[in-house]
Amino acid sequence: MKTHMRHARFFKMMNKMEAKKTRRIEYSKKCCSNNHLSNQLTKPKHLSHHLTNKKAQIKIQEMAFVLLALVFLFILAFLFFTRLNLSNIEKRTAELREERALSVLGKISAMPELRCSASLGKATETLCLDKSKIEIFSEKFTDEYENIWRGLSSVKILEVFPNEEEYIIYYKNEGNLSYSNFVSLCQEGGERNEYRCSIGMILVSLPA
Amino acid sequence: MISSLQHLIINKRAQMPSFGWIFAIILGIAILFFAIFFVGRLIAGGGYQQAAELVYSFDILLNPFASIGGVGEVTLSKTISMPSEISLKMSCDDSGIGKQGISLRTRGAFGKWSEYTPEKGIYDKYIFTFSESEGKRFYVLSKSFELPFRVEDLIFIITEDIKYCFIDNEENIPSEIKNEFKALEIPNVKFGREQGEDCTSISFRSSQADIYVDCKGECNSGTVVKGEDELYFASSLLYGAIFSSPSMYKCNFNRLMERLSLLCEIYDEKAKKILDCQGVQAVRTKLNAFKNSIEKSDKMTSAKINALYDNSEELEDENTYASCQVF
Repeated sequence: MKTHMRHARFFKMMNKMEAKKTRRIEYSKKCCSNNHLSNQLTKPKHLSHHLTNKKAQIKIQEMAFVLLALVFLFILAFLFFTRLNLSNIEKRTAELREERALSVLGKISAMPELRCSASLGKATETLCLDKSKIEIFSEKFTDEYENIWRGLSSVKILEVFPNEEEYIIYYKNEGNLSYSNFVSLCQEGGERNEYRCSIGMILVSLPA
Repeated sequence: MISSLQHLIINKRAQMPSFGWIFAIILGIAILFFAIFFVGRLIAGGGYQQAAELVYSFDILLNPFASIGGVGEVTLSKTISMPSEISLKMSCDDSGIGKQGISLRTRGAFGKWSEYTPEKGIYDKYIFTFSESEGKRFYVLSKSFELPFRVEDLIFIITEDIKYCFIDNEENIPSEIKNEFKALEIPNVKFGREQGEDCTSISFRSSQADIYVDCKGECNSGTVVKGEDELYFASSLLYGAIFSSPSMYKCNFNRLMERLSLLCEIYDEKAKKILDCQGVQAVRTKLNAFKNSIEKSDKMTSAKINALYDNSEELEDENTYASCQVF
């Protein structure tokens, strides 16, 4: 009886194993008949795709960095160029303003409102300003001529010797840069062809 | 079938350009575009910058012409040559002592004009020219305006493309004007006209000429007829009437009359300071009469301009013979 039962269990086990084997073969057959090649390719291609994607990602990142670096390079070059251009313009502007200040110095000494007229005789042969005219001009006529001095900070005429006197021709603010020129300040002496002169200075100031 | 699928995949990959190529093409186009854009902007900006510098330089260049009267009654003539062809635009405002606006543009290397610069105001000069003029060389003539005292130096700009010719016989041209122009040797101003020559004719006799000058006496005052416009002149304003547009002339005339009026006030104040001196009161009387005869261009007539000049002569005489001269 015991032997009989042992045999029965053995056969049952064998049957189970056989059924498992059959199922595996069937699965294998089914699987291989449909996707034999793909089954063969899938495994290595999957791996290759994974590797290629990673490589591409690195390449894109690399390109992005290059692009970023290029953009920065362009911005830097543009900023450098703009700064250079701006400093050139500023330099030229300062030069032109200086030229204007110097030309104003010449202009003042030629203005009929301030310059010595024929009444001062030989004094007109020098760089001479009429002191009477300067006094009148600085007291009463500065507003009418305000536009002539546009762009300047102040225009003053100083008597430096023997007396010290300041005549304001135009005043907007205290300038940073000043240009000056010595002139003679002359005034009629009372008698015909008689005049007295002193040493004066034209002072033109420019804003910063 | 499987094999063809694989082929198809491989072929498609082969047909598509690589990412590197697409990137290079797009980046290349972008770089080229920006390079062309910036170079274009640079050229345009450079032209504009050059024009802006020229405006300032032009003003500064004219300074010697505006200060010659300080050394006496002289006439100065020079040629200003620009680095490139320029187009000059002038405007004029006659309120108060007024101003003239100057803006210019330059012609670039490819013949393209830059933009006009912002207008630069000139308050201390009296420039007689046309509202718009083009050229590379400009003949600049400067003459002191004295009526009877010095008012300012007048600047006349003549472009090289406008030619002037005095068509009268030389004996009919006032000697002072004839001698002055002969001495100045301005290439654009000639005496006589050749057959078929295209030039703006100037005559002191014929009203048929493009510019007819109707002088009084030694041509110190009178009228210049330009088409339908009548321009009244005294002293060196004659040159302004000949070499500028009527609107520019009238505007500068008004500015000068305002300046003349202010100078009369200054001299009147100065006369008050030396009133004790013999003859000064008489000078003041003449000065006031002279000041009252100053008129703006719209109210000026031929008779009034002649009266203005006569008054100035009387004032000068009175001042000369006074014990203390006012001017």
